[in-house]
Amino acid sequence: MSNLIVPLPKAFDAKVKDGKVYVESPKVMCVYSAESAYMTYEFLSLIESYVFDYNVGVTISFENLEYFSAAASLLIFATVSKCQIGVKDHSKIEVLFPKNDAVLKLMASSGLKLALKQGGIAKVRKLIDSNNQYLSGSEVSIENYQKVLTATLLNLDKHGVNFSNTKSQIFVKGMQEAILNVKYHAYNDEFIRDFLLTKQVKSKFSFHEETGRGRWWQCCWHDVSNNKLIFIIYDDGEGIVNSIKRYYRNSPEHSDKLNLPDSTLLGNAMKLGVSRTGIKERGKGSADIINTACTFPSSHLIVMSGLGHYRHDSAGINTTQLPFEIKGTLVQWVINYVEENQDDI
Amino acid sequence: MIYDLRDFSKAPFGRYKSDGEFSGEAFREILANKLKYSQEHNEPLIIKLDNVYGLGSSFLEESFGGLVRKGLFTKEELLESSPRLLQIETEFDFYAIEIESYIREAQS
Repeated sequence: MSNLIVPLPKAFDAKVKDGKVYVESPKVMCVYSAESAYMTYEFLSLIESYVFDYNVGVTISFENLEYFSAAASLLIFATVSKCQIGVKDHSKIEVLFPKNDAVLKLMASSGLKLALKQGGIAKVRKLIDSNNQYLSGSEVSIENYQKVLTATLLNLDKHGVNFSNTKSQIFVKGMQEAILNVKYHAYNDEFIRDFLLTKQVKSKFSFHEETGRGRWWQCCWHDVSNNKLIFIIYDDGEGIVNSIKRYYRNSPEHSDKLNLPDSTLLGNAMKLGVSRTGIKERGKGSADIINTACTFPSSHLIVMSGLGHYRHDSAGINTTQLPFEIKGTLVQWVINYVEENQDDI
Repeated sequence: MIYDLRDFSKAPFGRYKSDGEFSGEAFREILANKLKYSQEHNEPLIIKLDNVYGLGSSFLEESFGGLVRKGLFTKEELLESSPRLLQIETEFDFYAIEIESYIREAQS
């Protein structure tokens, strides 16, 4: 370790300690506000870099964490579990939990603490078996799309969601299509080929090939006190923005769009009925996803990919540039969920 | 004849069989057999969609739109015969409307 040159940014109090790199999280981990988003994402990228680029063990301290947002919590789960799955020796990845009682309690009650505890792929699969709010799946049958979806639905059922309800039905519709989008778009063959070619320069370990292709991470819960249903899904595949750029590169009539900012490209990609497969009956999933956002008041859809941020709610669509470049795609729905009589619809 | 989707799965999901055990492609096979039977006996096939967790558009398009796209039935046979061969029973009108639109689009 003492001979290894690794970055030790002061911003995260990074140092070599007990044979591993020790890093301290920002006090606020959130990707919704520009102020905290950059440091949140930099912190998570650094952890992944230590494990996969520098092949060193990491102690990830959340001891001084004072607040984490929903989307940030999913990215934390994605990063930590990816590192945990990606190493043979589980003791290489250590997580120190928050000292703040309220934050620790929230981590525990949300299922995040269980999701972050030490363990590799067996732990991740146990999360599915126990219908945890935080789940990760891949194309491997033991943790495939159907299994993860079923675990998610059972969890919602257990927490009082009434599925004989228009909003629940539309929510599940959107959720299903988002999971399918990961399968069909996030990890296409061209991306996997290019990804492996570049990654093999630094590492012989191919995460996706060795731990399950098409991996994604998600969290879903019923926020009873605020009457919300929340679903967030993340993949570190090609990303919607890169996918659209590839589509435009291969379509001469769209080549002028390649210089558009990521926020605009993301907006284009989210238009109804656009399918990168070019097959007419595909591309219907976007309608489900957007419907869940704009049908109900106090509900919204957020998508982040590349440098693009897209938000759609009952007031309309807003796209902005992110202060950091997110690998892959993150999609978030928050739906205002109130029990209703069918007669009121 | 009545067929309850819950008998197939309470959580139908996905378009193709590669998406999982309870995909649209798998459901279409069941649908096609039951429709053929109903057609031979000049009776409607009523599909009950309720009391499942939710139905994605990919599942519905592959199940129902696929009946026409794959040349198994025409939209006239499904929707315009008397009695109407394919009938959808659900408390959520948007599913019935969505299914009909996929059938009509598949033939256009």
